[in-house]
Amino acid sequence: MKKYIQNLVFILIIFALLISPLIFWLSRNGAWTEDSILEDRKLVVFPQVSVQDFKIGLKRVYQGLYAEAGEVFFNRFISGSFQRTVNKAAAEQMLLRIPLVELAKSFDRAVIHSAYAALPDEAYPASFNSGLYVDRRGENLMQDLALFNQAEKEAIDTRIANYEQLLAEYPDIHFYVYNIETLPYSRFYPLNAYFPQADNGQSLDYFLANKPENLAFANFALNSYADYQKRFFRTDQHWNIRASLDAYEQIYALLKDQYPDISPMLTAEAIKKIDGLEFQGSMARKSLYPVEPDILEYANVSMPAYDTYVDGELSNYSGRENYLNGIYSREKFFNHYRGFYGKQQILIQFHFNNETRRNLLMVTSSYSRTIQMYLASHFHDTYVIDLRFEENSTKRLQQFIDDYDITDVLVFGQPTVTYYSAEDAIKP
Amino acid sequence: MLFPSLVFLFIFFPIVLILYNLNRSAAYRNVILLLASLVFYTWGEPVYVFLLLLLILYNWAAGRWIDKKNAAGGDAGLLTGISIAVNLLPLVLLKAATTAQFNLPLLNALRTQFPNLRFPLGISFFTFSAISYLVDVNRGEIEAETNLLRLANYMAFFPKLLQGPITRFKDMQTDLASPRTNLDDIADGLRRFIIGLTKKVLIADNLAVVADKVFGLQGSDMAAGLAWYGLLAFAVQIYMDFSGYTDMAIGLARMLGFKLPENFNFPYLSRSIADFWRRWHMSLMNFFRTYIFMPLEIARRKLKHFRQQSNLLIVFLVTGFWHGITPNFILWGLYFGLISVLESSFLGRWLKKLPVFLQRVYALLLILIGWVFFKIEDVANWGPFFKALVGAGQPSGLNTARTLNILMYFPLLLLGIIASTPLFKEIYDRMRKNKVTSLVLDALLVGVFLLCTAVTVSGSYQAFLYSEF
Repeated sequence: MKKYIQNLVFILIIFALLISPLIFWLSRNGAWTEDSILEDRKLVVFPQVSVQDFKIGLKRVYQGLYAEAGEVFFNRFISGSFQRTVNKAAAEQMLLRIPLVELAKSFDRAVIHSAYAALPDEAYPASFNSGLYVDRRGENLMQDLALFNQAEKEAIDTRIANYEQLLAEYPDIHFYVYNIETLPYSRFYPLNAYFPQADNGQSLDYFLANKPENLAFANFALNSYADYQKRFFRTDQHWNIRASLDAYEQIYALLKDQYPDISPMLTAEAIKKIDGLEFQGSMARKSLYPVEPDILEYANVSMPAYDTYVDGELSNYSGRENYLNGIYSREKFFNHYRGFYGKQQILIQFHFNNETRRNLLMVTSSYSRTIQMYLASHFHDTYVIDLRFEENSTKRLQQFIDDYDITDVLVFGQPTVTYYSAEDAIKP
Repeated sequence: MLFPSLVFLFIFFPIVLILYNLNRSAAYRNVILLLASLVFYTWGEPVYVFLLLLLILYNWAAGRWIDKKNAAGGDAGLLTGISIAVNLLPLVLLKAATTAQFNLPLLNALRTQFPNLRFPLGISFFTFSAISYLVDVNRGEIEAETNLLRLANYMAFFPKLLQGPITRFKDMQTDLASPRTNLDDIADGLRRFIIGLTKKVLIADNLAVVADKVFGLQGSDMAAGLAWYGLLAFAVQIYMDFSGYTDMAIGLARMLGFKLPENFNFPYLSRSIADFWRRWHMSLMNFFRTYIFMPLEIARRKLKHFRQQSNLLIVFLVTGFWHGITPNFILWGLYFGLISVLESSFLGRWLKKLPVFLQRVYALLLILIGWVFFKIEDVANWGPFFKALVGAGQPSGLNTARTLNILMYFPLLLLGIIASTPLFKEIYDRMRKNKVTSLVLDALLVGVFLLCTAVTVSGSYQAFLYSEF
C-alpha cells in the first residue's frame, strides 16, 4: 500500500473514532441515558445551556448587576461546575460505554494476570480499582479481607459496651445476636497469610471472649473455603437460600431458649431454582470479572398467611411471585437478589394473625431478606430495620418499644451489623 | 482542558480539526487557532483567561516599543527589564499566594480577598514564552510582531499552553505566518499523539497509584523492595506523564502545521547529571541556558564577578523555584546545582574515565535520589524514606505490595522502564520502514487509542456493593 493511501486510511479511521461520539451525542437530541442498571445509579447527563439565560446574563452585566448576572448564567462556568458536569457526562453518555468499560477491565485483568502468573497467591485483584478479588481458578469473586487491629478492637469494645447498656437498661426485653461469619472475617480468606493484620477470625474470637455473658449469641460459622463456596454466591456478597435455611434453624434454636412457647419451626419442602435465570451479582457488576453466573434458588416453605407493610403501607414486598411466574428482568447484571427477595427499606413490618403477643424488632441488613418472613412467623408483628438508614439510626430503642410494643430484639447480620460499628448499633 | 480528557478528544479536537482544515489561508487558520486556544484555556481557567489576554496585549505593545526604541538607536534594556517584571509579577505573586507557607501581609490580604485563589494553569509557560519574545526582540534576534493574532497564537497556542514545550518566537514565526499541513503531517501527528496518550493513560496514571501509596506511607515502615518499587514507579510515572504530554503536544502541533521542539531524549540513559539536564525538559533548560546562564556567563567575562559554578547554582536554584517554592523543590534544585558544580569542576572528568555502564548507574542513582526530594514535600520525611531504601527501615510487615494492593501494577512498571529506553522507538522506526509492519503498527495504534479511550471512560464506572445506601 502506498504511503499516501496508508496515511489517508489511518487518518480516516482515527477521525471516525474521534467524531463518532459527537455525532452520537448530537443525534440523541437531549434524550440521554439516565439510568445505569449495571451500576444501579443515575448517570450524569450533559447540562443544558439556555441562550435566553445568556442574554439575560449579558443584560445584567450591561446594567452593572454583576452578582445577578453571575447567578443567572456565568457563575457555573466561573466555578467550573458546568465544565465538570460536561466532563462527567462525556464519560457517562459515551457511545458504547459499557463495552469500552469491559475492554478496560480486560486490560486490567491482562496486567494483573501477568503480575501474579509466577506467584503462589490463591487469589488476586479482580480489577485495578474494584477492591474485589477473584480466586486463582476464577471461580469465585470475593470482597477485600477485613483487618483486625487496635482500631477494630476499640470498635468492638464500644459495641460490647452498647450491648451491656442495652441489657442493663431493658431487662424485660429479650436480646439475641446472630452473626454471619462472612469470608473477609474468616480464617479461610485465601490471602490471610499475606496480611499480618488480617482478621482471620480474630474479631469474632475477641467479641466472644468479651461479650456480656447473658447476651444470647449464635454464629453462622464457615468451616472451610469450600464451605464458603457452597453457601455464598460466586458473584454476589450474599448467602444463598441453603445457607439461609441453615441459619434459620440456628436462629430458631437461639430464640427458643428465651421463647419456650415459640411456634413450631417451619420446614422447607423443596429447594428449587428459577429456570433460565443467570444471576450476576453485585461483585460481578463491580468488577465485570467474567465469573460463571450464579443460579438463584428459592425454598418452598408452607407458611401461615401474613401481611407485609413497607413504611406503614400494605405492600407486596417480595418479587417472589413475579419471578415464579417468569416476570423478571433479563438484563445481564440485574440485581436479582433484590428483585426476588425485596428491596432494602427503612421499615418493613410482617403481621401474622397468630395467638402470640410477642413482637420482634429485627436489626439487620440485606442478608436477612432470605428468611426474615420465616422468623417473623413466630411473632405477632415483626419490624425489620436497617440502621444504615438515618431514620432508624437516630432513634433510641425505647422509641421502637413505645411505637411497636417490642418484646424481642434480634440483631442479625454480618459482623458490621452484629459486633462492629457502634454507629450502626441501636441506641439504648 | 487536558489532552487525555474525553471533552478534548471527542468534542474539542475533532471540531477544531474540521474548522482548521476548512480553509487554508493563514489569516483564517490563525483566527481559528486563537479561538480554539482561548476556548481550551477558558475551559479550565475561565477567570485567568483575562490575565492571558492582558499579557498578550501587553507583550504585543511592549515588543513594538522595544523594537522602536532600538531602531531609534536607544537602549531598550530598562524597558525590556520592566516588561519582564510585568510578566513575572502575576506568576510570582500567584505562586506565593497559593503556597501556604508564605505569610506576608500582602499575600494574606490576597487570600482573604480571594478565598478560592489558585495557581493558574500554564502561567509559567506563557510567561516564559513572553519573556523569551521580549528578550529576543531586544537582542535584535527577531523583529517585534506587528500582527497581534500571530503573537497571541505564539503565546496561547493550545498544544503547548499548559505544559510546553517552551518555544522561542523565531521557532514558530514561519509556521505562524503560513501554517501548512499535509497528509503526512496529520498522520504522523496523530501517531505521535496516540503514543503520548498511551504513555499517559496506560502507564503514568496507573503507576501514580503505586507511587502515591508508597510515598504516602511517610515513614520507614517498609522493606527496601517496597521503597524501591515506589521510587521506580514514580520515576517512570513522572517521565511517562511529562514526555507523554509532550508527545501529545508535538503531535497536535504537527497536525496543525507547527513543529514544536523535542523536550526529552531518554533522560534515564544519561551519563552524568549535566547530561541528564540536556535530556530532561530540554525546552526549559534551553530557556534557562539562553536567558539566565548565558547572560550570567557574559557578565562573568565582563565583570569577573561570577564563576561558572555560581552561575550553575543560580540556574538550578531557579529551576527548583520554578517547580515550586516549597523547601523540597528548592533543595531539589540546589541538589542538582551542587552536583553540576562538582561535575563541571572535576567529577565530570573522572566520570568520563569510567565505563559507560557505570556512568549511567551513577547518573540514574543521583536522579532517583533527586526524585525523593521532589516527591516528598515534607523534608522531615526524607530520612525515613532513604533509610527504607537502603534496607535500614523498620518494616513491620504491615506495608507490602500486597497489603497496599499495588503488586498488580508491576508489569506496567516493567513496560514503563523499557519504554524509557530507545528500544521501543527503534522497533517502531524499523517497523515504519517496512510496508507490512508499518500497517501492523498503524492497526496497533488504532487499537491502543481505543484502549486508552476505554480506560478513560472506565474511570466513570461506579458500581457499588451496597448501592442502596
